[in-house]
Amino acid sequence: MSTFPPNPDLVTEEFELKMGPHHPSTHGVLQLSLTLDGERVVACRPNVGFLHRSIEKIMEHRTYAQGVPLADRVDYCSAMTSSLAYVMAVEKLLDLTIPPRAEYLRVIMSELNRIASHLLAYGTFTLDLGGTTPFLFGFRDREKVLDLFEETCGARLLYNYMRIGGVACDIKPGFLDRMIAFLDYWEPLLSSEYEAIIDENPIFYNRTKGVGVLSQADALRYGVCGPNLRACGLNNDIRKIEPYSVYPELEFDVPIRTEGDTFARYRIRMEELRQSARILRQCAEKLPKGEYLARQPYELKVPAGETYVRIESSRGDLGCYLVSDGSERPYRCKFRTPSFSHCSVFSHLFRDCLFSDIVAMSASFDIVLPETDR
Amino acid sequence: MPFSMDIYAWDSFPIDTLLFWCFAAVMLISGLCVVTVKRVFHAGIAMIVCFVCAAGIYALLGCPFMAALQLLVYVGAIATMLLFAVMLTDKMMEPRPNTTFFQPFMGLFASVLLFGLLWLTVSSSKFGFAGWANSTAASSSAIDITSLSTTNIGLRLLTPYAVPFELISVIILATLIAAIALARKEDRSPADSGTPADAPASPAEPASTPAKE
Amino acid sequence: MLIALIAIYAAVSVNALFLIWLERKISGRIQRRQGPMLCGPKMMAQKSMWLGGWFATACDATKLIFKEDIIPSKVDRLGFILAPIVVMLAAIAVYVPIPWSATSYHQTEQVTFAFADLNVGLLYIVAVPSLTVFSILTAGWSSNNKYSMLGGFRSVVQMLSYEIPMVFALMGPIILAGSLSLGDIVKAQTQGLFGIPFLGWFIIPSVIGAAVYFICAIAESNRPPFDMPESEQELGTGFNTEYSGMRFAMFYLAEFSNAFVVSSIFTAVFLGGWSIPGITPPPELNLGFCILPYFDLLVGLVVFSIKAYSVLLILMWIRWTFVRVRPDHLMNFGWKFLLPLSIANVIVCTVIAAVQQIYYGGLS
Repeated sequence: MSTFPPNPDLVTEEFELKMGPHHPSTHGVLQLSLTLDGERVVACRPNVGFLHRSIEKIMEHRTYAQGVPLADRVDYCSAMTSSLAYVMAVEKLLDLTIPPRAEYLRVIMSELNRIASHLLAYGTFTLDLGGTTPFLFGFRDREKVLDLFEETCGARLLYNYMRIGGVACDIKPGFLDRMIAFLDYWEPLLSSEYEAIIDENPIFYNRTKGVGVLSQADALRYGVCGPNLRACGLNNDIRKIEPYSVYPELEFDVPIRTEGDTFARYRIRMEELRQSARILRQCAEKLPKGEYLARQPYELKVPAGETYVRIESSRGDLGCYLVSDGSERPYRCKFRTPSFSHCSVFSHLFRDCLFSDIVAMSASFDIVLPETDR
Repeated sequence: MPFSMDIYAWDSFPIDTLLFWCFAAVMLISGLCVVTVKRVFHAGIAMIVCFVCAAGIYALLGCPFMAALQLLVYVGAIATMLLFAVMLTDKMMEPRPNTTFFQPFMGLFASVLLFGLLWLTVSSSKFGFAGWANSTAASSSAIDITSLSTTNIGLRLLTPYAVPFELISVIILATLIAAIALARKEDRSPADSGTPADAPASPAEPASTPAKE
Repeated sequence: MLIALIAIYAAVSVNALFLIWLERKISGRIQRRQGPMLCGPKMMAQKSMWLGGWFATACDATKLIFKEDIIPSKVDRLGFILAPIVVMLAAIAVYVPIPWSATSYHQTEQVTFAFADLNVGLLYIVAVPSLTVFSILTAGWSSNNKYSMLGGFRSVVQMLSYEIPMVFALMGPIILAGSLSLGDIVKAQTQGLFGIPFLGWFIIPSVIGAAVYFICAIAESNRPPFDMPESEQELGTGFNTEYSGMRFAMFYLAEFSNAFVVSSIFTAVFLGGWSIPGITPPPELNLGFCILPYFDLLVGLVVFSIKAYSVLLILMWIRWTFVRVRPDHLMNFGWKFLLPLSIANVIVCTVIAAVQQIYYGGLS
């Protein structure tokens, strides 16, 4: 439907365009080496590494507790989940039991962060398609989520909230009421504003339907995960297939679509926003009283061994591989990040399409470059 | 007129004359520039300036219809297409290479020939109004404006000159069809256009296998 | 005459600044932007959201005037410098034949109030923007930047393709009025259709033409959702990527000025210009002159402004609601949908004009 094969009748000359690293639509510092034939994209090679901060190496020289703020910076748009993967890996090596209240608080924060991250994804996706109003809808309500984070841990972007054995601090009195108030305000807006402004718009529909179709086999081949794989018709939600934390106690659905196109990826995120709200409401009811941080020694020494923990971050299957040699510093810490896999699929997907499709497709994958480069 | 804006006070100052000489001078200079400047792109710009000045002179002659058409067709379509073609050719940011020895002479010969032809045509034809060559441009009221009005042109085209007009339309239509036929080469069915087109493209792609397995 | 020319220039510039303010306000209302609603002296912002926020445009203009004028070293200087000037020139020149008002009812002969009511006004209005095409192409190419070049090419393709349905859409009113002069077209609309005064506006017999013209006009003035030549997200604002300071401001002002011109033309051609439907006071009433000299002129101007700004508001509403069209969809839409539609409109208008001519004794 929307592929543009080369026209053998026309003699044309291709030219190289280095799109990025400073380009408004590459969402950070991704560089796409495009081979263009007029408006048609012949080939694309994503170049990553412009935001490499060597987080994994720095972690080897810091104590386990000092690794948490670094883990935040792996994915700064969803810092709660990326640090959650790290602390869960450490806890697995320590064989530490977490107080139930801390588990619930972690789920609350993860889901709030998923909302914030998906709102950002919605905003940037629509902005890349040229719609400035939906972009500001997304940012307006993301601010309200960030307000909730700010009152809890004092930070709006990099929270440093997760702790080995629990969370850094308890929620403030009235937090749950404010959270429910936010959900009550925001959930109706999903259909009355967010979806109303673009879903039925034929321009939007034509630009996303059937554009950037990724088959399930290709998606698996490239390691695509999270909402992007669910848009190809495969349920890979770690919260369901390998449940962690208190997710088994919570009721929620995993939205699945089979088209695998840009529109499906956008729709999956919109449905996930609703499911996150559903989880949050249940958490607010079920949140138990008690400790929010497990007791642990000041000088934390992790027994030797290695482990791998995977969680469902806002972007998909986020894994943390941790090797300990028995000292107070990790021997090796490696993150398996969804954005890296999503970047690698670009070279397969961005062919025989139009230049304008590139921004729509790359935005629909919701890549976050710090996560790609670490 | 209850609102006598100064725009309508043409008679007090020979602004027509002034404008005519301005347009004529700019037209001549830009015309010279078209053939003398080093960069093809600049020559294209000079040509557009020349066209705009021609439109101005048409307007001064009391024929705004021609002026608007000059802008619409020559500046809007022909010159833009020309610039487009110039831009798509390679290395146009650089000055153009030296021409061969005979080119200026050939150009001179052609232009003298064309000038002679035009001179013969202009001097032998009788215009229906007081030609601007004899009268000064200040007395432009002598020009019979009604004969050049849009209505008149339309009537002339569709009554005495209807046959040539239609003939030209047919010729243009034929040219259009011919251009499309030339550009399309041959009509191919979707079945066999898909595979040979894709076949050379896919092995050239280094990224058809995933970067990491 | 010089004074009149300066007046045109000043009016165009000030109006464009006002339009930028208005656009900000509209976007602020639609998107709940804080700046356009609250920026500026606190007193005003507290009183009303319409009063607050005027400061931003003034600051913006000041900033653009005093900003360093950067000409990158690898650009083609002639084209780079010429392009914004020509864009501004074309934007101002288009204002010439727009009929703002007319001395109407107390005079035996109506005189249209325009800078010059050309008898080929409509043709002039479609001809002059071709200078814009040329200069945007020049700006894109001489910037020596691949994004700018793509933007320039896109703009040429878009403007040339949409010029054709646009001209065909305007053919309907030309046939109905029997004139190319914008003043005559407005006058023809005051006389009503089939003897019914309320049907006078050409938006009624030529409703398809009005729709086609409206869409083409958005494309011609490069406004969203047809702003591919300068799409920030794809081309980094396309043809004006390398421009800064006052040169950029010229493109910016020209864009807003063109938006206003487009809505003015729509008003004059389809919405009856300065006329109020159904109200044609008899000449012997001498209504205006006894109240105030030039009263008719003033009323016409106000009516025209209300109509033109209403159209402009719809343009802005569209801008802040829609997402951008893809270039190939735009081409398909223009050539395969709008062009046949506009030709159909010509046929419909011809039939209506013929019926009017035969049974009701002519429109004009």
